[in-house]
Amino acid sequence: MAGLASAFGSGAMTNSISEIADARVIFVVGSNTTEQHPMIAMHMLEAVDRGATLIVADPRKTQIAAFAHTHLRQRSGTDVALLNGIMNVIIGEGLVDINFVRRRTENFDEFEKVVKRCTPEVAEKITGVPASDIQRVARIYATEKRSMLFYSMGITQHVTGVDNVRSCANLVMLTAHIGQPMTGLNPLRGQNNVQGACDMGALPDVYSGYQKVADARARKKFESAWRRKLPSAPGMTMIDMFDSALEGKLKAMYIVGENPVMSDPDTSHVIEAIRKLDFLVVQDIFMSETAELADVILPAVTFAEKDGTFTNTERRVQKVRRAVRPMYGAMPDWKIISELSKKMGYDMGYRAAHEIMEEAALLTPVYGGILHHRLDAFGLQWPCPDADHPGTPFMHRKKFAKGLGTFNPIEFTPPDETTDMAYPFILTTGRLYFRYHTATMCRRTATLEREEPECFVEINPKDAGRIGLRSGNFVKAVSRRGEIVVKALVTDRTPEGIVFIPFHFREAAVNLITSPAVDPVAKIPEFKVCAINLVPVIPKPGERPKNRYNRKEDLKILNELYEEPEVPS
Amino acid sequence: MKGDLVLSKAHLSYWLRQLRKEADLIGPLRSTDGDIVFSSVENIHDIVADGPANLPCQKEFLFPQREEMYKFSPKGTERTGNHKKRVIFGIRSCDVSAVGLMDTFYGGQYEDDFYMERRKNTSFISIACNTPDSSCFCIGLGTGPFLKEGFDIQLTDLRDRYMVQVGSAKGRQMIKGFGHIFRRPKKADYDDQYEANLSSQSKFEKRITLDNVRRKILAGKVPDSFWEGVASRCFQCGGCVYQCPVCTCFNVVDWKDGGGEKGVRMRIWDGCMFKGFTKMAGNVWPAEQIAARTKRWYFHKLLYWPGQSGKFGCVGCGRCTITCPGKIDMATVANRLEKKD
Amino acid sequence: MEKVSTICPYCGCGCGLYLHVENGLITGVSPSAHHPVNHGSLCVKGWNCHEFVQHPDRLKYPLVRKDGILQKSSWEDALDLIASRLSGTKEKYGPDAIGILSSAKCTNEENFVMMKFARAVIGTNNIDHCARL
Repeated sequence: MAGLASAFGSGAMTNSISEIADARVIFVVGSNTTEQHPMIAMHMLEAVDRGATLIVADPRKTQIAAFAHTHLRQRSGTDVALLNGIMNVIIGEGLVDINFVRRRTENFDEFEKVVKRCTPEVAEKITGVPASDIQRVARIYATEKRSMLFYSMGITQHVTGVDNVRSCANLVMLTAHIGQPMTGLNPLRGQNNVQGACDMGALPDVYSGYQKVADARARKKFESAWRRKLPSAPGMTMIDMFDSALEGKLKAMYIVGENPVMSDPDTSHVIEAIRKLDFLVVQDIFMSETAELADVILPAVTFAEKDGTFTNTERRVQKVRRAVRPMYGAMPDWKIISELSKKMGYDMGYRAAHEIMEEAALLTPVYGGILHHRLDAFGLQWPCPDADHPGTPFMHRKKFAKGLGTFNPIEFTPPDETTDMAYPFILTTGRLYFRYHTATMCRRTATLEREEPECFVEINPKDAGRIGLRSGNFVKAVSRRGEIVVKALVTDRTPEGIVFIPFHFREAAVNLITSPAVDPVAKIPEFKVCAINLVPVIPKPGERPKNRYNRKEDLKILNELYEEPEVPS
Repeated sequence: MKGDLVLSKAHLSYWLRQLRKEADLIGPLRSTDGDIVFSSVENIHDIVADGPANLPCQKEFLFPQREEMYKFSPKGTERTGNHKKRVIFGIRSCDVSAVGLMDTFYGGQYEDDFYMERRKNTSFISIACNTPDSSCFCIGLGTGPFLKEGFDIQLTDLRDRYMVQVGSAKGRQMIKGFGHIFRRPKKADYDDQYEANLSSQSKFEKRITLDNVRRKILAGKVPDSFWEGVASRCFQCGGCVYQCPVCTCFNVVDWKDGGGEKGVRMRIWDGCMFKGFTKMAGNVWPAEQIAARTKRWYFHKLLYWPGQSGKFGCVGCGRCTITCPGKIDMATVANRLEKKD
Repeated sequence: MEKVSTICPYCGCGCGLYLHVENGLITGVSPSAHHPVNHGSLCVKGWNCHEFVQHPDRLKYPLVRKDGILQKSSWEDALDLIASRLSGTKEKYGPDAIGILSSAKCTNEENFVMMKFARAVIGTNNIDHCARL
């Protein structure tokens, strides 16, 4: 979100999902929409049925790409070059909305200098996308008024993640596709409330509503509401925390509903860091790979057992309602934390979720009018500054959140790891339709578990032929950090030179081999590019290949958990 | 018809209140979000009797998405089930027809205890449909908008009163002892019923004859490439199966607890649209391609059902039209096939 | 039989759905017909999102590691232990020796409380979540 914030002043989908069906051009960059956001893909498909043009930029031939009028298969990690190439055409052919650029943006001249150098031919050399395709896409996107741009993890999970996002923002501003319905720059957020967690300030440098902790006025407001002195220096991101733990500086961690052992790059590094901690608390609904390493585990409740709100990717704050009483002896997270604060000498005194939202609304300008009693019938979209405000379906109408939109001149930089003789394949990781994140939830859902029971590596038929691999064969994926054994799936969904492994599987935790390189600003790991080698392996009869993470001791702990539940008083 | 009755709308709530003493009354209510949902009725006046025709599916009351079958422990096995008596008010003719089809499947040659137990305890008061939705096409299948048989009680809305038709022993049970609120119909009532039925028939937007489609498929005029085109738009959500009032597939799952020695055995809805549905030992996936699965769903409804029971496995409720994110629902596909040479 | 309107716990689309509740147990899911995102549709995950809620693998009580093994504990004891260990760490090494990871699966309210806990109670800005993954 840092990329969007630096261009527009706020990071969220600028427009609404319900506008998609009426768009004329839909440009999807680095999002496997049909599998990861199926209900958004449904709207895109409807737009296509109504005659819209769909452009997809993704190295893999995903289902949404099959519907695309133009599918750009750029090499992994070359998105900036692709976007610069497109913008070069737009500037060169005079398709820029000069009026908008003059009135609403700044720093165009600097930006133009950089883009001028990246002609479609230069971009073709870097990305592998034909220059004629780049020209065509540029013309289609720029000339149509109702053009929506979407991106997802395919853009952000790179060392150049922030650059990628800024490039998208540049493109949107260049053509003035913002501040109108059926336009905008629309990040599709992966998890149900990742937008809300950001909005509510679960970030090291901002309070709720993206108010900077370094800003004395914002800090004073929170200090007076909470009656405590608050620290002014921004804190550590998750990845910094693990580095700091490894150095022995961070001593204790409290992890709520997260499974960094599975989800973070370079698993062994994370495990080592966690082992170094003096004290680890994990609060979750199921035993996770991270919880197994904890000193204290607290049972939390699922979405069906608590009241509250989730904010979806289009900034819609919606009510989650309690359907059943907390199962077993679990408690809602907010209750656990407020009980704990009470024990630590700070009584938060909340009795229900809506009381918390009341306080959040008071302290958060963009959530000012978000109150539980207003959220029946499909919620409200922030910014919603006061209790009479009807919510905002599309943002930046008259001006950007930060005033003028900023063009960021961005040069192409190659990914952190490049292929060589020893590691000739680019590995890109991602998700599957039937799976979700580290799979603690869908593993307990019969239908989902059955559909994709095994991890696999997608590989192009040509590459597979070269190393003598057929679908169903076992193959060892080796990177500079580790190795895992998976089954091969030979398919032309993945282009030559690139292989794909989903990250959901504990049995073959792909993050044992992914690169720990992160974006210097947003600290997003580069999951989408890592150099690996593939070596076919033949397991001995009756033996299944093992990897390093299946440790017996962890399973022993798991077995001890299956006991009679205790009913709390 | 002999045995028909007339009920003033003013007396409907009284009647339902009396029925509720004996059974859990379920009816169409407006949710906090404005959707119509079938829930237990607290306040009879909350019932939305004249709402839109595209109501949620009633299948869950006879065949829930997740149903516990047995509890097991070292002490033995205990069968769990649902003996609750229920009156379900306000379902439409298409769903009554669907219950009839479910009965032939679950109550036919092999009787399904869990289904039959719920079925025995459930009575339906259906409403002859006079507000068909744009997605409805029961009229081409004879499964609606009003029925001649197969219902427990069928109501026809005659503005200030209902025509009440009784079609089963359960239906007779529901009017027994309420002579003081029902009266015999007069000619004017029958005239109004005729009017209502006529006007309902004229409101259908979709006219689909599945017979034509079936003949075309049987004549070999539909190539596999057609189904591949259909399948390319499949999101594999399973919505068509889950929402279909005629689909019956389930999977049996054991949840073990306490180190594996006790737990529950339950069944959950499953769907032939999923790749793993026909997965066999030795890692064999007979229908690995989506096209094979979509084709099978349509063939089951259009060819195999008529082959076995003489009726299509579709009642034209139009729910797949509403739920399918890829717009490859029965109505759309049938329409395309009908137009195809 | 009750229908409770709520939001799908899986992806960021935020589809509206109903949980069907009978005798205190969830028996099924149905999509919200008028929701601006899903219009009566759901994906396979949404359709099956009720299942894990009641799974017996759920954590049932607090666990505390004693002599290297995780052991069953009461809420009171577990929270007392956490409070004393966190306070101890804060006194000995300062508040910035503590890190908090909140969750993108928790509600807004819970994330707000987590942030307040980190900043006001512990006194550190070391709070983050997995937005980047």
